[in-house]
Amino acid sequence: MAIDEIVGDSIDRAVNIEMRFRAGLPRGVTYPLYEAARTKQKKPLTWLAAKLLKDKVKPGQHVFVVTGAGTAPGLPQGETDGPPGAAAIARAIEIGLGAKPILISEARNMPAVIKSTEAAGIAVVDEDLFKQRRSCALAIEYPLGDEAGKKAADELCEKFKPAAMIFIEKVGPNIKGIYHSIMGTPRTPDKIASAYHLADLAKEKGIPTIGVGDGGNEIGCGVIKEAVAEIQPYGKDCGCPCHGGVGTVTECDVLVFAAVSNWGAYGIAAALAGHLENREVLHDEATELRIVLASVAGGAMDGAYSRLIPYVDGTSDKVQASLITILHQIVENGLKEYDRGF
Amino acid sequence: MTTVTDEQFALMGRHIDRLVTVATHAADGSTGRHIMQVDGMPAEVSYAIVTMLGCIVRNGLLTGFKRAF
Repeated sequence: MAIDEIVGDSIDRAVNIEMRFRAGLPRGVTYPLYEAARTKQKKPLTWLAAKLLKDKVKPGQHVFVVTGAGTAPGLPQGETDGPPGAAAIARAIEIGLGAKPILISEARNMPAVIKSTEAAGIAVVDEDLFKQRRSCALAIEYPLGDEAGKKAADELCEKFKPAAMIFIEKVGPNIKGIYHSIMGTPRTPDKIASAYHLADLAKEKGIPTIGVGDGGNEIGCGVIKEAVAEIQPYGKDCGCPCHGGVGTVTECDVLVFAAVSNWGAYGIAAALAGHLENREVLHDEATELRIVLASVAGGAMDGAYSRLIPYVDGTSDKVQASLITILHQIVENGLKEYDRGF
Repeated sequence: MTTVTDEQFALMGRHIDRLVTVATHAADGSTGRHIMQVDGMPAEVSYAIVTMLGCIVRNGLLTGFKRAF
């Protein structure tokens, strides 16, 4: 028997434990934003996302896994929040569903995305090999700029006909078409892959989408845009000349909100493991440590410290592995029936 | 300011678990067995919780840091 919604709520809570610094970045925002998403979507978020994947993705089908945050000068080759989550999802859908993950990101982020995915045990191969075997992924660089982004979305959907798309820590535009860091720093479309076109096209074509975010500026968080405007310090007004606020307007069919976007992805993998009754779908602690180190080796920096250290949003690699331990236990006990006899 | 590291927190957790489950022969509440579990969860889960609590406290005390972007 697959996991029920009680287990889904436990997974959601585990991945929403906020561990922000006392100062320097917005804090105290995770729980209210999660609650907004939970209220709007009516069921546990990770449970919903995993169920959608289980119901809609069949063996051999392509799934787009889109990630990559950060720009120069702060995070010139991206950040450690994003690529490890993409790696975990690529692994989960490959092992759990027999799907074929296609990793999509800006060229600058691709070393971290590829190294993370390979550390998760999924080889990133060329297109010819990708067609011939399983346990592998394809990596595609997405162009910068809005017009190029729209063209790429059309071409990629036409060529690969994805069964689903998952966006992890992938920034989306606000109501004025401008991208922002959570602190309100603007990024014009020429610095960013306009991957929101993929989400928009998916909606048009009826392709299921999942967005994973931890602030409100990530693709998918359009589902709670009013809450983001109200709760995030730069939600109503980013403070940049556009004054449109940091929240994105891009929605997904399911939004998974988490304290760290990677954790939202791990939560989806855990819930998928529960839905499929196969704990192997969620990677283990040793793999998690390898993934985080690999992302740093690929140039990704911790987004809070902006240093090349095995931290994710200011939390150590040991914390990442600890979360994996807890998620495994939630799923294991959630599938167990035991009579203690008294 | 002196802060407690993740490792120190984890070490304290291990000592507490051993005291409870080994020295006093307390049983795991979910199974009724004398094993290194607490309410159906192995000691590794307790260590994981302690590690995460350590991070929450450490980051909650971290000041004087402002990301530039």
